[in-house]
Amino acid sequence: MNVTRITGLAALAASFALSACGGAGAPTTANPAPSQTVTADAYTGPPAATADVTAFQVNFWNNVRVQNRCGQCHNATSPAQMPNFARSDDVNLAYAQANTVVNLATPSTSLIVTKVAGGHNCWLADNGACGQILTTWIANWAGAAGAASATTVQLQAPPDQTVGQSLNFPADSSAFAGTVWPITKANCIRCHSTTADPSVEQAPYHADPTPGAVIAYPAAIPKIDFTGCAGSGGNNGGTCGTNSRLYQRLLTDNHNCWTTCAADSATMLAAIQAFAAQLTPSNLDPSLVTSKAVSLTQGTIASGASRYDADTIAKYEFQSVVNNTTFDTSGIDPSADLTISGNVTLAGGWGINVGAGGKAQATTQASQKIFNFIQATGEFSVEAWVAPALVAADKSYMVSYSGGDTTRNFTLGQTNQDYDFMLRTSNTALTGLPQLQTPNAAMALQASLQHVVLTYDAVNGRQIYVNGVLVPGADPQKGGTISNWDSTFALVLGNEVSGDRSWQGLIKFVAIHSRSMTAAQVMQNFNAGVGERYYELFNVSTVTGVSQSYVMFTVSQYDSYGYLFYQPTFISLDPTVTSSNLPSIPVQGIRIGLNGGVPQVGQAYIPLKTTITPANYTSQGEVLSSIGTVIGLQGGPATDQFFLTFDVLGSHTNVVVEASPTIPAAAPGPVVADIGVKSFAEVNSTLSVLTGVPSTDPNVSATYLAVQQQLPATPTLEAFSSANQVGIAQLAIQYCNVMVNSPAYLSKILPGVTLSAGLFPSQAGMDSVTGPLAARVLGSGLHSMPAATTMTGATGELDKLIVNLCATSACSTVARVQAVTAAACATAFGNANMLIN
Amino acid sequence: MTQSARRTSATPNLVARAVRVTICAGVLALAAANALAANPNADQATRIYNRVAGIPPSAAQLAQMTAAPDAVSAALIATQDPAFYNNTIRNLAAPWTNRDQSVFVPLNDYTATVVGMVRDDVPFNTLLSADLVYTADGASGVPAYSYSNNAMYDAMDANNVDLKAHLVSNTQSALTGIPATATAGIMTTRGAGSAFFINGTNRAMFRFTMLNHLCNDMQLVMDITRPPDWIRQDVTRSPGGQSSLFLNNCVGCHSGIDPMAGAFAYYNFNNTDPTTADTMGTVVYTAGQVQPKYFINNTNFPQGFVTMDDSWNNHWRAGPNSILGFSASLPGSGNGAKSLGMELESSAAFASCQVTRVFKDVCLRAPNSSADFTQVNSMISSFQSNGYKLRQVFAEGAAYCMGT
Repeated sequence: MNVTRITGLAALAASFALSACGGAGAPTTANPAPSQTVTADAYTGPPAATADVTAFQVNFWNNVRVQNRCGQCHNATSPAQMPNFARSDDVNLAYAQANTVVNLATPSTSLIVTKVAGGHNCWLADNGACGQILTTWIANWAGAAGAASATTVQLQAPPDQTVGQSLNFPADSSAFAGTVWPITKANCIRCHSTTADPSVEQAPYHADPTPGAVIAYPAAIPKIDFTGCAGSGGNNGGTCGTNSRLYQRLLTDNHNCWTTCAADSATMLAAIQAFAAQLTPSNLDPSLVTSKAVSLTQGTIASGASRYDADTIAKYEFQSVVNNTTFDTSGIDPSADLTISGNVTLAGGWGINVGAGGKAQATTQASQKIFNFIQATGEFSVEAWVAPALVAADKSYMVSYSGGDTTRNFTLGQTNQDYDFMLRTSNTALTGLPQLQTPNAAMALQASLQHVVLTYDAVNGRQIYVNGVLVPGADPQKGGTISNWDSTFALVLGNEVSGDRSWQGLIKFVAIHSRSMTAAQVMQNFNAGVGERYYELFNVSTVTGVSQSYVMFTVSQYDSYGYLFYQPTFISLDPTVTSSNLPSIPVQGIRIGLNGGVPQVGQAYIPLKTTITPANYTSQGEVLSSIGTVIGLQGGPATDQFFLTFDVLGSHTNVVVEASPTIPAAAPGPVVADIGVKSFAEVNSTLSVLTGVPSTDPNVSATYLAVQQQLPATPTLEAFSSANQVGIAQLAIQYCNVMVNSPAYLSKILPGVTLSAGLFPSQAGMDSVTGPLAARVLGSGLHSMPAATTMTGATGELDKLIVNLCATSACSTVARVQAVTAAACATAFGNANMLIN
Repeated sequence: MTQSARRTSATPNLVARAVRVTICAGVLALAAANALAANPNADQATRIYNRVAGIPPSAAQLAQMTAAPDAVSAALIATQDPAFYNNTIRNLAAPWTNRDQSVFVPLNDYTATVVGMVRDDVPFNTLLSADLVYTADGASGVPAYSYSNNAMYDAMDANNVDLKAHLVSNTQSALTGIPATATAGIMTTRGAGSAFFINGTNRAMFRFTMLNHLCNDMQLVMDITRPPDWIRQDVTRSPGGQSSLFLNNCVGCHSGIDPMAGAFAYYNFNNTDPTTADTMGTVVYTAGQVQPKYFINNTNFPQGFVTMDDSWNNHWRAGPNSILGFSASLPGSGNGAKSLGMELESSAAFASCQVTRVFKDVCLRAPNSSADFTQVNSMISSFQSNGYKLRQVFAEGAAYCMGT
């Protein structure tokens, strides 16, 4: 097998720099962890011959030589199973044997790890957990010994695989139109259509009724997933189509179901499966420029011993859940395994999804090791990788070591977008309050995968780091001690032990350290990341003509729904290929293929346009892009197979040209009124015109500002309300009041009229007022306006109003006549004749 | 103002969603076209005036309109009324200037610039790129223009200043200190900056420009099939641990927004008095230096796009949103807000949006018949081919909806 060593990758570079500690000054050596509760017989043999043997002894040998682990068989006495790396008589001889089964460069690939993880006498219920623990011990050995080799990754060529067949979406929309489209058209058209009411119209337009599904089909394609479908003549039941968003949206999101979500999602799934049944599996379009195929685990493992774990006393990587138990893989006994209860499920790519009410809790007995270790040091750190599902959550606890909601040793919690750190010290209450909280304005907590670390020591008190950065803010309660902790509490994740502080989200990693981590150590662990990463090598040798050439991505399972791809790099595993003989290779438009198809979503490298040049090529390859992207998961890491396509690679070209979209046809709406109403400013201006009073008059201006937002804001009849009319009346009365009481304005509106006592209710007197008012608002000769006689004259509304007002209180004074005139004016100008537009 | 429509119009038949093209004109349209050729009667003229200016005409104005050669000419008379500017145009533009889209907001330089452009028939397709701002003239008796406060326009409001008579044209670069090449029409006014450059990540400026001037909010243009290569680091790819949310929702908007909002990388609104919301502070432009707001929460997805300069790219020129009709004479990418503004204002969707909105303003309804769609298309063509005069669009719309 061809291999090459790669050390220059950016993802590793930071961690190398930190773990190598190659700078000036003497290296800092952490104090060894306190003694463990499970011990072997005291060692009385020859001392370790070298520093590396000492590292082996402390970090690995002491753990494996006990009777309930490897020492039961791989010992020096009976049965003395070789290799007897767990022999207790001579650590130096054990060291020699151990070197035959470990790989300090990549501990997880050590023979002893793969053997035990594969089922060889694991001492726990989960073989994988034993493998992780052994990995931790080997990594600690390598780290303590300063193993420079740990920074080197050996790239291994994957097997030569071609891209398989798959169900691909046909160019013709008829199969879609006969299966899925009728359902979306019948039930989703009120929003997901270009014909929808603009107030609720929403892309994607998978329900658009344009004939031939010319708009609906392209919009629906990204929402349909044929994973699990066999196509024509095969099995299209079971999981076929269940990854489809059209199905999941109904099933899990309860998104606007039209009967019941269970029934509607089943209907949709049946339609998707019927769609799949009409398709025939096909090979990839031969005109495409493609790489060879590779699956996730066929890549080279990239994650390595770059974490700082020297003081880890409990660690949870959540790689498995067996019998409702997920394991403490710190390697520090006793193992504080967690029992999950309630709404907790194992997440893809390692982690647990915690839903409402769920939690994962250790026993109080196992949790006691936390108390013991931390009481011995007087300081500690809590480290977690979490992705909160909610940003509006009050008092939700992610990690707690407590006896209930009112009594705790420490708790990492969430209050909306803040992280909370509650800690029992001599300066705080038994509840751990007052808490240290990240500042509200910082909104440190995001609904994203975040690395959060709580540290405590007597000098600095509590500190909170988020994504490697210390959140500013000193601990007001620092200076106390934690000697008042309670040893009977239990460690719990995702809730309080009392079950009343439910937290929701994804927990990918938790570690508890018996020392306060330094800022550098926090940053080191943040840079190390979480989860397992692979270097995926996509073979392009036949396309480029360069021996053993690959486009390499760093890939990990990002969560239960997607893969993270980043940093595409061109590299050849042939050591004879160097910058001196590499040709220039143009690269354009990379797409990541999955299971024989090319997903439409997440293709971040389509715009990529670059050239691999000898000048930029090194033995570490040539990075093509620093951008990363997430590609949706289909069958899972065990079955999903990736490949690449290229618009241009070397001399091969197949530029993908997108079809032009169909322009939606105009969608006539219902017939609506041809008329409307004047809006607020128009009402104000119109009243100003009708009364002759400028809108800047202090009295009307004050009234206008007071009622402005009560006046019509929308000029449609449908939006008009009685409150609008009340506002209009108020404003009209004010305008008319100013007009009537100002001789200058009055003379223009009612020329020749004197508002004297007794003017009303004589007909002539009334006509002298109502006639001009009606004329101003009705205009002259307008067929769209009512006849003037409806307002003025003996039968007119205004005259009737004046008669009634004068009957109520005699119009025998000037003031009364002015008031009645103002009322008539407001009636004339504040009505629909003014308002209707 | 002598700016002219300087760029090739986007293909007229690629009209945006705001108006969907209908081919069939129908009998009603022919009847309407015939009616527009004649002078309006008194009822029609009255409706035109009320719809355009918001107030009834005087007898003299009515007589002038009924004597006009055709309805559009009559409607143009109504556009001479100061109320057309103080009421109709001001309140048309007011909701564009704030995040709440409220019409009840003070006059500011954004609104005043729109009013001035309409009054002076400045090509409206320079709205998002011109080095232009309208201020009060010396006779208005109001405080001088300041990029740091709204005092001039507040005083104009308080005094009910006649905008038609007292607005004068200036260049932003002369008054604000922002280089001419960095001015971008109303986007770089203080009014817009205080609303859309304040706090946040400057994506708001793009979103509200799309909403206000291309009549497409994000839920209409979300397209999950665009490349996510420009999506910044602050956008989590796995909200709450579910990348499916990102792949089905977030990416639909951010894949388009983020590449465009790169144009605003050097802008910020420096709010000097947070207790008074948007009333104090100024738009800041830092040439060559990306604003820190482009890097907040950059650990949410470290493999995301890192903004290095003010370059932008229109990913929506391909895919479903290509029907927005971006101009083929422009490259679809560039640096800075001015070139982005040109990209947007040269689109068919921009013209369609402005015309459709005016139609609704004067007809009091959205176009809803074949005849209406034909009329709107006619108005769009007229708008694009006759110097993007919005006043003319008002006249044509009001004439069409003048009734019988």
